Amino acid sequence: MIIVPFLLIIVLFAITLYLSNKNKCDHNCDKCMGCNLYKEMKK
Amino acid sequence: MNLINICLTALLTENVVLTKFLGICPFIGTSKKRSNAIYMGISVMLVVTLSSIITWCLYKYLLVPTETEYLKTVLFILVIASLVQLLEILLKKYLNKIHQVLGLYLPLITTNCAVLGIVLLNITNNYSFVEMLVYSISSSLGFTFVIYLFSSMREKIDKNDIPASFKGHPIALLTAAIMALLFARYL
Repeated sequence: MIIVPFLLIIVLFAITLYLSNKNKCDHNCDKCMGCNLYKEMKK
Repeated sequence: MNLINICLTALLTENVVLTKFLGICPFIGTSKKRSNAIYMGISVMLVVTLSSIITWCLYKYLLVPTETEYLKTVLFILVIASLVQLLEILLKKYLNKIHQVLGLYLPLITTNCAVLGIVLLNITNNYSFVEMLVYSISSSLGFTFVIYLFSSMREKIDKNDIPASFKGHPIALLTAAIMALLFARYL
């Protein structure tokens, strides 16, 4: 039973990675903080 | 009576921003406009309520029986992060209008320590399910209330003639300090 929380952590980590990759911005939206930072860095 | 007590203390005297100093980053960062502040507040309320329910159930029915309470911080961070990402996808798909308004603020909530703070306080204070629900909703409502109040003040302050060295963040931090004194009942 003790393995379940550890497994859950791994599964949640994988889900977070997958979903954040799916939500990833193409640095072209002009709206999000990531895009603004990206543009600032490119200047 | 206990529930009213929890609600009022979370909302005012033990406000998550002004007395526990959690979520200072969005408090300063998204309080320049009233509309931004209210959208940030709504997003926080949504995420805090949902993540509190999930984490409370996970703690009571998974971590306590398996005696792995020490994993709570890691597990809660991952729950909040995945929940925010999932909410973003769902809002984008089914409630596109709301996503266009809240979309900018949702990813910021992943790093909002007020969310993790409230979730951990639910466990530390050993609340029952109803108490946890009341505490989470009123704490996030307190966050929204304070950020809205602060943004209204900042909008007025920006229009006033103030010394150049105080413009921007210095005057905002001074205002926040006076607000914190008021909420902690020192004034």
